[in-house]
Amino acid sequence: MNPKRAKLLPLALLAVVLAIPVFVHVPYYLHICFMIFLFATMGMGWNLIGGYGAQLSLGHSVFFAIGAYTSVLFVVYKSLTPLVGGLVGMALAVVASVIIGLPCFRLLGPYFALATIASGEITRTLLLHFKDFTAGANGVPIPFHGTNPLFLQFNSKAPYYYLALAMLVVVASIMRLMEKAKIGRYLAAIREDQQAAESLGVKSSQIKMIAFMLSAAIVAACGALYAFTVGYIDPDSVASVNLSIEIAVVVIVGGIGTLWGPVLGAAVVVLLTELTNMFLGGLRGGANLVLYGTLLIVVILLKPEGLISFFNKFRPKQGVDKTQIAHGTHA
Amino acid sequence: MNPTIFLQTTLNGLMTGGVYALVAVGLTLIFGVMKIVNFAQGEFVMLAMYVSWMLATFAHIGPYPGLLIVGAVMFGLGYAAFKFLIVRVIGKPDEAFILLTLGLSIVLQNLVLVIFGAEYFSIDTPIKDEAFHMGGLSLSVPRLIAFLVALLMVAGLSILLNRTDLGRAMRATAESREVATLLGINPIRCFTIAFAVGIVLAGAAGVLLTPMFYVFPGVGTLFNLTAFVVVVLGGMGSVTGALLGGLIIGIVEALSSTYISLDLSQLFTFLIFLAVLFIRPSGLFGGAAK
Amino acid sequence: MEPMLKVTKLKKSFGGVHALKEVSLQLERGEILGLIGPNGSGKSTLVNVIAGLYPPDGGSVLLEGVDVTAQAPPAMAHHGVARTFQSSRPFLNLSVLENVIIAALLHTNHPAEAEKVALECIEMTGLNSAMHLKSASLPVEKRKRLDLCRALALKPKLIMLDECLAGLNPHEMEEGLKLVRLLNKNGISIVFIEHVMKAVCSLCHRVVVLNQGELLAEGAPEAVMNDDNVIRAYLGGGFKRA
Repeated sequence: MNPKRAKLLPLALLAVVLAIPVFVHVPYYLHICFMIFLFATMGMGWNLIGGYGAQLSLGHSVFFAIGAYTSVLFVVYKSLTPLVGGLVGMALAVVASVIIGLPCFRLLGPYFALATIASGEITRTLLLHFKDFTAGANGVPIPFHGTNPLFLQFNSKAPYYYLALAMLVVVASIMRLMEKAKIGRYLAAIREDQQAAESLGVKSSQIKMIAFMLSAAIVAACGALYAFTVGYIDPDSVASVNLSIEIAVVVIVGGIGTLWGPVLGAAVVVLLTELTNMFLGGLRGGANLVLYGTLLIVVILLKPEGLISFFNKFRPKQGVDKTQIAHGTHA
Repeated sequence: MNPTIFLQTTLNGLMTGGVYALVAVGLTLIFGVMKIVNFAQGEFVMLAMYVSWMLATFAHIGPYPGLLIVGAVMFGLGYAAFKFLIVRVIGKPDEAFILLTLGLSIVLQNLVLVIFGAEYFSIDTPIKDEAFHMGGLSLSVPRLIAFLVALLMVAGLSILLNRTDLGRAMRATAESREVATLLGINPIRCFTIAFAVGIVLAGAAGVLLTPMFYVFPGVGTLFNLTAFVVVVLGGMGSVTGALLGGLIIGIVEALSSTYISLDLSQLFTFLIFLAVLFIRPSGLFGGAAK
Repeated sequence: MEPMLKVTKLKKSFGGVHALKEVSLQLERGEILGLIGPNGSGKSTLVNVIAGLYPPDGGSVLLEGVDVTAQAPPAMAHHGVARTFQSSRPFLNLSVLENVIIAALLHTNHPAEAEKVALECIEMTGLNSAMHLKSASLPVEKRKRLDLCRALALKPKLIMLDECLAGLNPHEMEEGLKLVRLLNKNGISIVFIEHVMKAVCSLCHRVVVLNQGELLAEGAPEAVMNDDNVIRAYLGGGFKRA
């Protein structure tokens, strides 16, 4: 397939995806698509710091939870629309990312990963503890009083589907623009060889911080949308380590440090999860996670650059083969 | 503040801390020798608990007599995990082994969930509720046994590392793989043994914990996080550090859950963790961390 | 006129190893200064400390009179100091052009402008034919050129070259030297670490010799090469020049 045709492929896909809700009305299937879009978007956000910035964060559930809880609690306590509440959530998530990132970036790989896991667990513990404010383990249901777009209340799955798709398109466009811009190029350099990049004037701590902040904002926005789509949040569903790991896995399986990797990864992981639930649902829960963990292991051992590398013949020259990292230390 | 409660809490924490140390020591050994953080360490603890439960339920072998059997099983599992999985990521960048062991922990935890279900099992041993009483304090027998065996194993490991040829070979490999090879040491063999022993230690900890903890698929995660904190506090690669770190964390956890709040006790463990990472990343006894 | 680079009593130890013991040297504007010495004498450490990779334990570094001691590598690049590494470090998965654009982005926020500068530098360093190739596929000689090209794109005042001729055959070395002279003609002062004495002699205005972290000799290349102390340092005691 020549490069010109390859450029049209995303547009063709977009057309197909836009049309799906017109023909498919089963809410469950639309929900699966919603989750694919959501994880693809979060994956792209995570990719900025975990892929390009080469800092493996296993704590992004913090930002998801902040986005979810902020927007929901603003509705519950102040009857404020999540369109504003969500923005506040994004801002708070950015603040959190600075608090976590500033001290943590200088830590070596595994330590950084551990520190982010710790932040995630601290957040979950705090959400559980301050029951009077957050309803703790009981969670917060969002009361449904009929269709109300301002409060993201719809009585069918289709609007949520389109919202998630819109978010994905917006974030993907931002990523595309960033790739070619100074910051995207600097991030690519940092991933390749941070020390060499610094010798060329790349202020890696600053750049990584910006990437981290942006990824936090994106994941927080997704958290807010998720909350209103599902109608109920609790610490274990929005602030768990498993969620953080799933976001990372989506990108790693798809293709770390690439633009479309997260989309492919999201499709694979979400479909795998749902399919195993459907067919092996009779078995006690956990079968899908076994497959998912196995997928992660297989990808790491056999195709570390991700499944997207199967499609690499269509790409001209960027974003190829991230296994060749010149120097393994990023400290 | 009631001195008896304080002493009792501290004593309990100390005893539990010994077991944390055992899990952490395995982790620190693996890191020390091969520079790999095993994110699945807790899951091996959990596996050992299930093996122990099966021995008790189907073969009527109690946890303490079963210790050797479980140890052998864990050695086999550790060896297999290394040979089929871990060895392939040695020398690759950090992300590889972080994600590999993470994937392994997900697989192990959920495989157990699928096979055994989510119910909480427990083992009945005759000494489960026994305790020594002295001066108003009670010392639960299983806890004491766990503590003593843990100390013994840590001491044993120390002897292995410092007084035997194998141990010396492992320490040389930890320092410099190239130099060790030049000295005729087979680094892969050292890595294999280090990993297997690390898993055996995790397994031993699991067995010792069964009289005191419920056995369920997620129990590993609890120990994972605590073990990491202990290892970072004590210093990656330091056996003494892991021991001391374990005791300290055990006490801190006990004190904070008694005096502050049960559900916040983990929070303090994490705060210590973060504090160590920022103030003294090499931990109490460790070498390189940054 | 202030010297381009003035290093005063620079000290650096790693654990118990005293890599630099109060080294002082000076580089005049437009000069090519050779930095030689046996392996382990501290040459790379000196460059690393000046470039900001490690903070010194003592002493100072002045760039055109401005104190830049212990400033981190990105800041040093902004000050106009470029350096190459002993073994080439291209961004392997990126093309030659993309590599140089990243360097050129030091002075502009617009990739289009950076691309223009990058193309000029690629032209100057003779990498036109390799422009769109992934740098991982380049042979050693082209990688060394890429190092120089990236350094050039930084528009530096000073470039520190760490064994940029290592691994090259005589013909490639000649080409390499021509390139370094070209950089110098464009007004860039150069610190040139090398082991190939012929290259040092033909290229450098002045030479400084380091041994075991200390300055051993300094002066015109020929004079320094013939200095007994220098010969002894390289060959060990007991050798006399024929």
